[in-house]
Amino acid sequence: MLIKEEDRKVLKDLFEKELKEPVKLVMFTQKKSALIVPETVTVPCEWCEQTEMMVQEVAELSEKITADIHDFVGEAELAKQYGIDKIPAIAVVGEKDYGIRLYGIPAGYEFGSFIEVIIDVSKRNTILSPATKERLKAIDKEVHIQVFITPT
Amino acid sequence: MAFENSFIRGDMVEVQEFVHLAQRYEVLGVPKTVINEDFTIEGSVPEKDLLLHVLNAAGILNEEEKKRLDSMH
Repeated sequence: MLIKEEDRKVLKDLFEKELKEPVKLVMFTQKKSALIVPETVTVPCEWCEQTEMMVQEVAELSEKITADIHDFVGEAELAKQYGIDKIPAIAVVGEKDYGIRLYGIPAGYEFGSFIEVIIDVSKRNTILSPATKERLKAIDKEVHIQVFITPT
Repeated sequence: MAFENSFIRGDMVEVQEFVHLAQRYEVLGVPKTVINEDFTIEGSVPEKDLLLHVLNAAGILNEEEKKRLDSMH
């Protein structure tokens, strides 16, 4: 268990109170191959397994959250559709894909951000001011925002 | 912001796991925000400032917003 028992309880209550609509955590990971073929040795994804566990554990805390785990290599076409080019990756999806991605394990300080994103997507609303929301509507060109963070 | 407009994509990237990106964008401290490869902001950014940067990247700043963005530098 990555999430401690006492935190699970707090999160369960929070999700019970805050979640409205379903949220899907579409995660891309590195699946462990059943056979080891020497010619296909790949670089191991150090944090994939733990990120996958984290996604599963969070999904267990509310019936409104589903974990949808995919293999980055075996399902390369799907990864491409989501615009995902590195792993571990989590797309937080609601009734549609909003283009929200988390790359790397959402642990430590980032765990809180992960939970906030899930809540916003479930509410189908963000905490942005009405003025900001209104102004963002005018954008008609691709804007890619990358925020670099660390877990500590 | 990604939620509000389908033209906007928002990524959170953990630097220790993606060192090549930290090197590419010269991430020396976190948080660091990179917009469309070429606009960068160090440290945490208030919502209204981030909005200006995003509108700038989309090329739709009005005169008043342009002044406000200029005064930030």
